[in-house]
Amino acid sequence: MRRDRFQWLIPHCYLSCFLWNMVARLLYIFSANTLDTSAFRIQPVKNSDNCQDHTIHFIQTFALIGEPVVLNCPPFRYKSMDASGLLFNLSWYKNGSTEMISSESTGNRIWSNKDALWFLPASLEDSGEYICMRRNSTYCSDVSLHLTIVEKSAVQAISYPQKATLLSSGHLVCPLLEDFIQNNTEYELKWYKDSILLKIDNKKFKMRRGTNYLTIPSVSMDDSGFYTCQMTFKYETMKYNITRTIQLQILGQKKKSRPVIVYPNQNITLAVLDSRLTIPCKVFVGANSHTFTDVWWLANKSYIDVVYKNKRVTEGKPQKFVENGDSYIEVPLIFDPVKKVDFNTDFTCVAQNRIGHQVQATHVKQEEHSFSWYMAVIPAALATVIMGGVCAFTCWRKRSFRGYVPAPVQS
Amino acid sequence: MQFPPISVTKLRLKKHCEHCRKVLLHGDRSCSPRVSWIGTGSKEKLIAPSRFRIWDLSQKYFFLENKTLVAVPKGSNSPEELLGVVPNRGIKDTNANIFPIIMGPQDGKRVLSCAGSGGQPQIKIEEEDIMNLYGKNEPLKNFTFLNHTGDGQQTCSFESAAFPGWFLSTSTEPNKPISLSQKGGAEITTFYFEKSK
Repeated sequence: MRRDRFQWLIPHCYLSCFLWNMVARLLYIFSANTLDTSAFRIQPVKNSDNCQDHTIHFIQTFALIGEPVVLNCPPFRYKSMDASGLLFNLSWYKNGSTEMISSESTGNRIWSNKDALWFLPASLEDSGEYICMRRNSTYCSDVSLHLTIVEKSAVQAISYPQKATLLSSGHLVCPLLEDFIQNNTEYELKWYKDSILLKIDNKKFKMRRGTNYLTIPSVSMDDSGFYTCQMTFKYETMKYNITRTIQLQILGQKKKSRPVIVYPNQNITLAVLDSRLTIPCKVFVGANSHTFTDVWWLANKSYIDVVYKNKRVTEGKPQKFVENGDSYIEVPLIFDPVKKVDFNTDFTCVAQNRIGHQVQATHVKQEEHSFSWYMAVIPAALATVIMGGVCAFTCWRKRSFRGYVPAPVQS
Repeated sequence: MQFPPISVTKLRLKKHCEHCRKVLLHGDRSCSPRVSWIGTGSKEKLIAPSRFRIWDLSQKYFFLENKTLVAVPKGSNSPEELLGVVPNRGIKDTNANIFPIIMGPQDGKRVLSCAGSGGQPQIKIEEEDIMNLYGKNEPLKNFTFLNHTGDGQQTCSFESAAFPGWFLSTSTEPNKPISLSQKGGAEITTFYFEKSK
């Protein structure tokens, strides 16, 4: 599979060439002047063989054994000079070999064709570095491209990651077929998921002849996984398969829900006069913590920092946290301390995102320190109920006991 | 309890900076970057560009080469190139579906700019500190893209602020530099834009 693409090209030549030239020249001068030149002669480096401009494709090309591969020499735009309009001879080499790769396709498995290097088909030993060299009388530039051929069993290791969004339309693209498409309207891809041929029924999957993509009209979570697309490439009398494998990742839909205030969940918060009180406003913001939600407090419909300039009541910093996979924001309202006036103030928490808002009001009520009347009444009432219950039970038992006394046996 | 949202929002607005205003009014779009940096909970200025992954409708990702961004099918072994994105607070006259941003390679030292005189405008990468531009609070139209949110809010497009009607685009062929195109042509102007965690 060809992953010819754009590459990070590193023009590192100028400095290194310059240094190398200088070293070579110095050595040459040194050797010519101080040594017997007939006994020991250091040749200056033959710079005519080395290009001024050498760059490397950072991204490698991967392909399957037995399939056609094309390496394309990247266009000159990546170079440090504007070479448009200049004529160059382009030649291809395998790294380590000085022999130019032939442009003759007959009888050869590998040949060059203008800017492209063809492997028809590729074999494992083709893995390695290839160099395309552009040269004219004054300038030379070369690019190294790295090719890796893998066994068919390793196809998933060289897959193309692609993405689709849940519940929307997904678009899987069979990449890098351009070099093999001979007639735009003719070619047809076969699509497989996990090695099973997909039925193109225009319901679950859609595909059109002459296009390189598969459409999933409504993506579900089950659609993630490995997809394989395959086309047939005819060359002279031979037919070859071209296989690309895609790993589809399903992105969750952004949760579109308004925030929900989970606390305070009742209208009354008890507080002790002159003591410190914190009322947290805890807001459920959904599974997606990236959704922006604003949470704030109001006192009688005004902002806390506007009403309490003396900072007796303040809004704490918003805290974000996750509980059981759900995201929450919490903004505390801090009373330091609680004053009588607070018992007559409406405190409201507001949570808002772009979907909507929710408000939750709470009133601060005084919690009695002293022994309240209801504190006395409740145990008394409980005692009465229990006593009453015991009495009633005893009476009932007595009565029913009496009712079921067996009649004395008459003899 | 009955609560008047509009009055609260208005009141709240006074306390917010301009870009927060947009968030409050227009909220988060899955495609739009506006949420995400404010989603970090701060109301202060941004201290670093947000990083976004961008890919086109044909599943081509952006890769940076010297001074060019090229759209390429991403292999599982490919290095990932993210974009650094900041809002442009200097452009005020936007509506709910448009959000002005400045984008560049993630190092933050270079930004995309649109230039041209007559004919087709071009995209260039210029040596500018993205945070410097962010702090300027000027229109900076050549550096600004108007981020339009598409149907269904999963996709978006990027219109040049300096050249209305011209959108960031990729070729249908792989390994070609990104460019500016008008909609309706062969070029792809629809993108996915996802904040990197």
